[in-house]
Amino acid sequence: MNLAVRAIASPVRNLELLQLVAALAFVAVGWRALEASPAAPPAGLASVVPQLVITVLAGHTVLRVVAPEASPLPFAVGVFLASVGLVIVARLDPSVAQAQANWISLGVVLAAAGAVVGKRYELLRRQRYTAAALALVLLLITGMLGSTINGARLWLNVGGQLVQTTEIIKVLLVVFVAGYLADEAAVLSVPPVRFRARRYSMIPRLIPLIVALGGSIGALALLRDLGSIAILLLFAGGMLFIGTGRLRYPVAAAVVALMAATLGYVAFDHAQTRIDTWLDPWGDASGTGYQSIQAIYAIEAGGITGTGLGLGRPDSIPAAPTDYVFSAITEEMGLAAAAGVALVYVLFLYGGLRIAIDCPDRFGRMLASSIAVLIAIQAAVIIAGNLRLAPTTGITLPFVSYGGSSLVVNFFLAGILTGISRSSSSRH
Amino acid sequence: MAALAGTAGIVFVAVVVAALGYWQVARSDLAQGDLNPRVLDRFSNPSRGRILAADGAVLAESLPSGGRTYHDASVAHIIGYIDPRYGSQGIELTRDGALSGEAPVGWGAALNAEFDRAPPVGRDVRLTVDSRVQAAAAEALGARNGAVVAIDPTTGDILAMVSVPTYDPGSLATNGEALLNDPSSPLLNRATHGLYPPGSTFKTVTAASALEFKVITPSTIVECPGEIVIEGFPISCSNVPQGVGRYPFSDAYIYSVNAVFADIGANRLGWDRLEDTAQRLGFERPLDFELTTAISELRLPGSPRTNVLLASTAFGQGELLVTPLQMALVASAVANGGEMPRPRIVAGEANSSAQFAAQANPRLTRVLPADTANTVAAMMREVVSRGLVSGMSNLGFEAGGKTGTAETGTSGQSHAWFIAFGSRDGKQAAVAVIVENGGRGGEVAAPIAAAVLKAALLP
Repeated sequence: MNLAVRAIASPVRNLELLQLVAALAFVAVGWRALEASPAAPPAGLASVVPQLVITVLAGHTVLRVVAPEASPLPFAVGVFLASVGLVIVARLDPSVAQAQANWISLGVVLAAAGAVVGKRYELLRRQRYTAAALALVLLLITGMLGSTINGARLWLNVGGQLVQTTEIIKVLLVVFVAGYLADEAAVLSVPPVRFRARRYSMIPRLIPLIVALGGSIGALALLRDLGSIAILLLFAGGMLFIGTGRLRYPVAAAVVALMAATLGYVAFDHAQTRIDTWLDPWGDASGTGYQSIQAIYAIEAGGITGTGLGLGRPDSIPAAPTDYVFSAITEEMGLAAAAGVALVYVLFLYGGLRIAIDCPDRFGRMLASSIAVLIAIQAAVIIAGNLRLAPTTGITLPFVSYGGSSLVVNFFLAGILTGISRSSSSRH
Repeated sequence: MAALAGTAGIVFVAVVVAALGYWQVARSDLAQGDLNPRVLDRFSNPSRGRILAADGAVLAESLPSGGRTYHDASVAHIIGYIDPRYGSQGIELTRDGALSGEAPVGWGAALNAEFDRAPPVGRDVRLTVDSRVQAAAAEALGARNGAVVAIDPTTGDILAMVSVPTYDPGSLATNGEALLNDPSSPLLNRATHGLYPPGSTFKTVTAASALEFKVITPSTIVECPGEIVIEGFPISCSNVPQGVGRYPFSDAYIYSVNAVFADIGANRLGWDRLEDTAQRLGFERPLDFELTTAISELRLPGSPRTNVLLASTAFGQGELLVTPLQMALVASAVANGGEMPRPRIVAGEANSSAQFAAQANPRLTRVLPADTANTVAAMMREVVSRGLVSGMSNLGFEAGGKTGTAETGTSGQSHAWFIAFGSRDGKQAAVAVIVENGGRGGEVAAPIAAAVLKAALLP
């Protein structure tokens, strides 16, 4: 079968198209609802809807050519969540809606690029230590030259555009962790070797991981990015478990996370404030607890089916488009939609792990599950923070929150995932 | 591994749904929370429904700018207020669903509302209050502290409810602290929450109890030799024209002889039967009413049921504390042949097309045997017909009443009470009036009741 026929006839891509049409329909209907509400965005802004439709369909067409038999799930889920995000971001702050639409468009381009990269993921494996070194260097540069926003120094000014370097570091660390686990998982998954009463510790085998993650975490602590530290630790624990099947790693990660939290509480004022605010936001209701309390009020106001788009007051939450977008969804679309969004992340995790299972080689399996686990954990941490199940971390809800770096990077990761799945099916 | 990830996913969604359920369903108290902008939005919603009198007079309405204006300070305690800082009270609170347009009527409408999310448009609420009766009551009471309640005894509709001193609900935002700290308690609805000794108006309850349990009849001759001593405490036989002597029981009621009631209560009736009757009339429990009410009590909680206390309770002192609304209901039950209506102050809520539904049937409860109620009513009419009270003569319709001059226990003047009813061409009204430290009920409170009855019954 030649390429053109495969691209046009691909039943998997037809399924993807169906899912994309559903997502785009949500944007069209949601935009209509917004326009009918008191929170109507400016009329000129409506062009973001056709912009989204055109770029998404273009991205889909590229995927038909590049990866006709790849799993439809990563891209469709990304587009669906980004669609929900575009509507809710436009509702919360119309002034950034155009920027968000542009970032989604760029994200779609990077998803296609990611699919090309993902097809040849073996190339990434060779760069695993380069990736780790690059991550540390990037953190160093951010620490020295970065701009501070909201008390955390996470942004680099690249040609007038602020880039959140931690998002790029995520990709680098995903590559490193996948590569490292592909090398070492077999060793790490057996109990310690004993030879002539001497116990051969596996600690030496863990040293690369400890250096890369420990270095990143130390640097992130200095940059005051507590959310990324939490995600990294949970991610490392989860991936070590997936790679080795041994529960001691996630347990160890949880212990380290608790220790880090305790240390942070003692050593850093801002960590202490975060945790105190989480435990009792009403202690300083008009100060540090204000954001958390406003988020809770918004969630309460939603009820089962929500107030309706544009009919609630989620805009009263400070930094809602970035930090509390889930609370905003909860208020205006209700428990039903919020639980749906949570389910879609589970679907992403499921789809990613399926791609991993179907993958013929260890590195591909590790890379696919790393991406799925990273995005799922990030969503879980931010959703837990929004619902006051955990302290707030100031990280973005993947694909949904306003924020260019995060959107683009997550779409790129979804693209890689798509590419990996294509390679698996082509080799069957 | 996939199974474990699946389990983790399911657990995650379950936890999220549980947390959402907790915040969105179980924590509805947050809707009124401090610094919640939705409270202010609700207050400043220009489409918030109006509150209307029964005759259509507008009592409260919202301006296009979002502010809310109140047109009649005399209904302030009924209407209540809604304020982002001080919360909400009165009809503004109890009917907030309709007023803010958020509680559609009926399952079908509620279901449709889920699919048709137009911004909520408030619906009007209509009260039973008749603005003519309300104005007459407010004018008659004037600036004196106290309360007036007027009820249609056949339906339970509150025709007027006045509490003085009053306040402007619209001024809460600027004047809230001063109103809260004012020693004269302008925010207190004296009609529903003012607890006063009822004085001799309570003899109506004692008489009804004694008659229904047949310990006495109106024509039974009672004797009062100057004073009657109950376990060492002397009670005076004053009030009857001849001072001491023998006369029918009805005269003891009409002239309000404390000693006779003390004797009947302590020596013939007993606590059980008096409590039985009083409880049926609504004492010792919160009234089934739109607005919250204070509980009218025969005696302080835990106080021993002694004969001495019973003697003074029987003529309306002791530890009795009652609300004006409760006494208006006693008058209603007597006027209505022993059937007490459930008091009602909201006639209806407009539906989404601004139409008011048909009024519900009144709910009447038999609390006294008809012959007992009619006998008491006849005695109350004699209080009026013998010309013993001011302002009730030549009303142009038949009326009855009972005075009360309640000792306050402090050095101030007695509280002036009057409960009354009247009927004309099948129309009925019952009234309770209290003027705090006003003096004698028959002189101070009765003319107010007369003015209210006239406004309610005369065209």
